[in-house]
Amino acid sequence: MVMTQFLSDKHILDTIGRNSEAGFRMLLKCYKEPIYWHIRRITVAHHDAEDALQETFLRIYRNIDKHKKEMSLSAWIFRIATNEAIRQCERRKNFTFSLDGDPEMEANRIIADEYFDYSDLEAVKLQKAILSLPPKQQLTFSLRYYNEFDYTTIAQITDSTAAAVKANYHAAKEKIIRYMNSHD
Amino acid sequence: MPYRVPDTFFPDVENEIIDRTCARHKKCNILKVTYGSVAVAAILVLIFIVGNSDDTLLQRTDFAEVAQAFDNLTDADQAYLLEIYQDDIFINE
Repeated sequence: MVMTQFLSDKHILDTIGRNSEAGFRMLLKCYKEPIYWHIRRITVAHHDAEDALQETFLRIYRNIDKHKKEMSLSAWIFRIATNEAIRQCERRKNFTFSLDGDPEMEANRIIADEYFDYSDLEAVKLQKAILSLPPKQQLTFSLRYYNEFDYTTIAQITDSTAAAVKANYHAAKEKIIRYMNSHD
Repeated sequence: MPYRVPDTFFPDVENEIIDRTCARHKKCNILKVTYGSVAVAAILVLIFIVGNSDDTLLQRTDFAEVAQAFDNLTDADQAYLLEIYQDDIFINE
C-alpha cells in the first residue's frame, strides 16, 4: 500500500510540475475518499466532514506550490485535512475532539448523525471506544489503524515526534482493548 | 467503520470542488486583467507626465523604454506608482 501510494504521489507531483490544474484534479481523484474518511473520524458528523473536506482541497489548491520535498505529499495533505477538521469542530462547537469526554456521552453523539450505520455492532463499539480517547490518542490511533501510516509520518501530520506518537498509539490501543472487553 | 455517506456524495463533492477552484481561477484571471489595464494606464500617465515636463526627454524616450522601466520596478514600487497616479487630478489638466 505504501509503495502504491508513493508511486501515485510521485506521478501526481510530476503532473503538478507540468500542469498544476491537471495535477490537482489527479490529486483530488486519488485523495478525496481517504481524506473524507479521515476527516469524518474527527468531526463524526457527515455535514461537518463535507465542509472540512472542501476547505481542505481548496487550501491544497491555493498552496500546491508550497509543498516541500522533506514531507511526503500524503503527509502534507493529511496534515492540512487534520487541521481543517479540528477547525471545523471548533467552529461548530463540536467537542468530540476537544474534550476528554465521558465515553457514554461521546458514544451518544455519533448516534445522532443521520449517516451512521448501525448494522455492524463491533464497528460501532470500536468507534465508540475511539471517541472515548483523548484527542491526540484518537488521531494517532486512527492514522495508524485505518491509514497504516508509520510513526514518523504520523509525527509529521500531527506536528509531534515519532516517540510521542508511538507512546500515544500504544496507550490508545490499551484503552481500546479495555473498552471493548468491558462493553460486551 | 460505521459511517456512511449519501449515494452520489463522492462524485458530487469532486465536481463541487472543481467548480469552486475554477471559479477562483477565473476570478484570479479577471484580477490579472484588471491589474494589467491599470498598469497600462499608469504607463500612459507616466508618458504624459514626462511629455509635459520635458519635450526633449520625450523625444529620447519611447513607449517601450517607459514600459520596460516600469516592468523593472519592484512590485511595491509599481503598486505605489499606480496608487499615486491613477487618481491624480492634475494629470488631466
